[in-house]
Amino acid sequence: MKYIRTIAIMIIFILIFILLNMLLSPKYMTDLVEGSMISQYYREDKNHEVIFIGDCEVYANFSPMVMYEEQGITAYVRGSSQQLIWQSYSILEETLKYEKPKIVVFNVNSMRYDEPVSEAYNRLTIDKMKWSKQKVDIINASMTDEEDFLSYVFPILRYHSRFDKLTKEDFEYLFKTKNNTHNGFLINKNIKPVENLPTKRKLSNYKFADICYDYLDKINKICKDNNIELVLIKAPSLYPYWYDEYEEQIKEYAQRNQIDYYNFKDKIDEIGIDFSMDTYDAGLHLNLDGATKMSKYFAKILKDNYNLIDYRENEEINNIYQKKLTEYKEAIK
Amino acid sequence: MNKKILIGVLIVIVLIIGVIVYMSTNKTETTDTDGTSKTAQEEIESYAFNYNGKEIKLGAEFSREEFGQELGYSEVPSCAFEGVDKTYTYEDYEITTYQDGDKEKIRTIYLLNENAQTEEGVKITDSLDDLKSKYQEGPTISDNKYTYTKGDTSIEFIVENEIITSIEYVLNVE
Amino acid sequence: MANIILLILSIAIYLSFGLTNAIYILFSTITTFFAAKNLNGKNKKIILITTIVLNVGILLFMKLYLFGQEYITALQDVNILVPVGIAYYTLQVVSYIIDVYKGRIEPQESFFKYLLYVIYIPYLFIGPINRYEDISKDLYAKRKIKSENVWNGIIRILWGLLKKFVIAGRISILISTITGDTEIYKGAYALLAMLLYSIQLYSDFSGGIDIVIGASKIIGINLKENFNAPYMAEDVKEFWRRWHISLSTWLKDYVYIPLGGNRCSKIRNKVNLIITFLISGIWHGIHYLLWGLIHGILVAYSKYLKTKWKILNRIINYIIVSLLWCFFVWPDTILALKMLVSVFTNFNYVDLFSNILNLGLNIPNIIVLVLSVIALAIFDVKKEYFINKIKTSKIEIKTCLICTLVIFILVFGIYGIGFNVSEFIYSKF
Repeated sequence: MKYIRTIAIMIIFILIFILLNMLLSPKYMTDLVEGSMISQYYREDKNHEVIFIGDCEVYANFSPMVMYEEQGITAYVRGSSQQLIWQSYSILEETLKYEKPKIVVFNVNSMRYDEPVSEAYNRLTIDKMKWSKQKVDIINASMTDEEDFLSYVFPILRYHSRFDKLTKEDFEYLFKTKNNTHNGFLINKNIKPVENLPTKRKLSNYKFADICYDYLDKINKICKDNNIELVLIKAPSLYPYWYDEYEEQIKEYAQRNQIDYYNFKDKIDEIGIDFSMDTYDAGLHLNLDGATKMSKYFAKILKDNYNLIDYRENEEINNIYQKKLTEYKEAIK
Repeated sequence: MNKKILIGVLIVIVLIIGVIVYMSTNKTETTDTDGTSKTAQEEIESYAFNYNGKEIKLGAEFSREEFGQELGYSEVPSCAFEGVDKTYTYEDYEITTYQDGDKEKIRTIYLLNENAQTEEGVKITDSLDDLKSKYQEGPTISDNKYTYTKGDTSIEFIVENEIITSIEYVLNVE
Repeated sequence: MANIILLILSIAIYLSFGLTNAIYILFSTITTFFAAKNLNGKNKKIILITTIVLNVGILLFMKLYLFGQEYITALQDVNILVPVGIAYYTLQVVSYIIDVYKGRIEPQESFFKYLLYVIYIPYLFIGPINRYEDISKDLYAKRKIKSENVWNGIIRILWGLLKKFVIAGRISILISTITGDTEIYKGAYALLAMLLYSIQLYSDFSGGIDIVIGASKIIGINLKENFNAPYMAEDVKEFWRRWHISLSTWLKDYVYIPLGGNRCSKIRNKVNLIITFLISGIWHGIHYLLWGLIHGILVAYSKYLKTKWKILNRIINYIIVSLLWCFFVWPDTILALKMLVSVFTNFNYVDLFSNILNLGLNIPNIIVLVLSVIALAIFDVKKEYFINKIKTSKIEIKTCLICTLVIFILVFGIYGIGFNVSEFIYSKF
């Protein structure tokens, strides 16, 4: 009897502990919504023909809703802030557990980073992932020196000092959640034109790190193994600078591996992007207008060159997407 | 008898205090370089950039007025977070700053042309030999970048075909 | 058997701090062990004095070296490894050999048993300083792990962790802000830093001792208490009977009394006191000579500072002790004195009150701090009562207490990335 009671007490405290872990973790619902993007995917119908992976240059620039409306393409953007290439790989691997798309689009910007940028970005990508082998891989590959694995298992170890910063959001979204993106696209309607950019710094080394090439190989391989067409893109951002030396290496890689590569930086005029209007942060990312132009342009390329189904003619899927489109139209008003 | 002991004790006390005071003043004198007192171990040597007789220090507070009208200004936000790197371009150099609490501080100084030179007298277009002769203590070399570090500051020189093509002061902060 | 494991574990942990460490501690162990065995015959006084001089000499040399290194650049190139725990084990071996000499204890026959006394890892870093006669019975007894001891030990450890992480950690944020800029933060700020440092040092130090006592308790070794609500003392003399008790009694038994204690003229007695405290200062580090001296004088003349009212006495004593911690808050002696003077010359109290929330802690954190300090004070004053209460309570209550403590420390402790540099990135959260 004594032991039963002791065990009961322990269970109660473990429940309290779990609850505190949930309460103190950031919810990423009304603020820093970038942290909730990865997990929204779990709640979606998994019937996409195109999956995007990569950093902010995908989730800010490509709108699946526009691509559906224009060409009937079903696409989902599994991007996240400062998504490093090994993170992209694990996220792709995880996605393939749920569905088999026809095309995977990878934005090559992250090839330049061979080590984690900061703990905060890791958290945005990893915190809300479901537990899986991929999550373990991603944590081990991404941790900075100051981090430890345990703090991903028990977020309280990382976020305990938030006890004084809890807001309504933390209680409101303790058990529930909401969608902040439209198939992974994050709407931003602000305008901040490009005026000046910092002087282009010379680098001592332009060659992509071996670790990045290894993961690009892995992404390429997993696509081949699953009969998926890999498409490389470079979003039309003016900054951080995409050096010519970078461009050469990607071109060379694409050619050697027979992968299609599109650099939209060279097509800015053709797409119709006006950097005095179409960017929300002076040239890093496109705003809603810019993304709409970008998405229309890319949707046409995909439709013309790859064997994609026009799902507007599929009643079941079309019904789902019409509903999504209505929400999207509402949101961009 | 008792008086003698007392006097002895007093002398010892005065001596001890004297020694401590002497040692402590010695210490503060050597380290009181920038107005704030630091103990011996914390003494920080650093690289500074001189331009037209004006010393620009990494990590120092940046005031836009002090530098006059810049030729170009840009803000580069980081995705998701609010921190903004600000870049101010002047005729011969460019300064980037970071936000430390409510203060804006200098993180890097990038020399744009041969009108600007380092305190030790090295400028863009100088040769690698010039660099090696003016900076004695061994640099860390990665590819063609020569980095000299002093305290929490470094100067990075990029050398192409034995010629210096890029010079940047960098504050190594977290 | 269990003791062999304990010994091996202690040695292993000790060696992990470097092999050179081992030479020093082994030297102290061997010299005192064999000296103690041979303390008979007409040479015994010579043996005793040589052993003590050798061991204390090493400690003194280390302290001088550390002190000198800060001022003499030539010394900075000479790298001498100061062995971990030397300040503690030296006092232990000295007390052992003196006790053997005086015939208070029998010398230990087994070298390894004696080595365990010297190197027993839990107390090697922060004390307490144990007497051989107090600890030998528990240390060499047949080890039996009793569940009651385990529970009580865990509670004690958690309590220590709470003091360290929740209270001391929180105060250290304020103090590092204040000591970080001595140009702005002086006067009232300096006073605040000193008053808070009293609490920080106490929570940190006694928290560490709690952990040592708790860990020893688990394996069945009962150590003596090292603190007894020190800030409840009414004068400095009483303070030293309640603060770092194992050091104070060591100094009393092996310095003050051999000097003649109070069995001599009044003046001589006061000189003895002052010498004892000077030695205490040296033991803390040569820097703290002045601090020891002032304490010595205060102890010698403590009765003149007392009033009729108990509470007033406590407040006065608390303030005096706190002000003297200035040498610990600002390790630079001159700076410490400057700050001490500024308390009386720089009346920026209005400034302090308007700025208090900018020192690193916001209101919720200050509330947590104040409440935990109050809890600490209540517990300390009624320590006996609480310890007994916990000892006799049911296992369910103990489980509750342990779980609550764990959760409290996890949530309110200051640890991890949260309070570091990246804090400003996360300030949005």
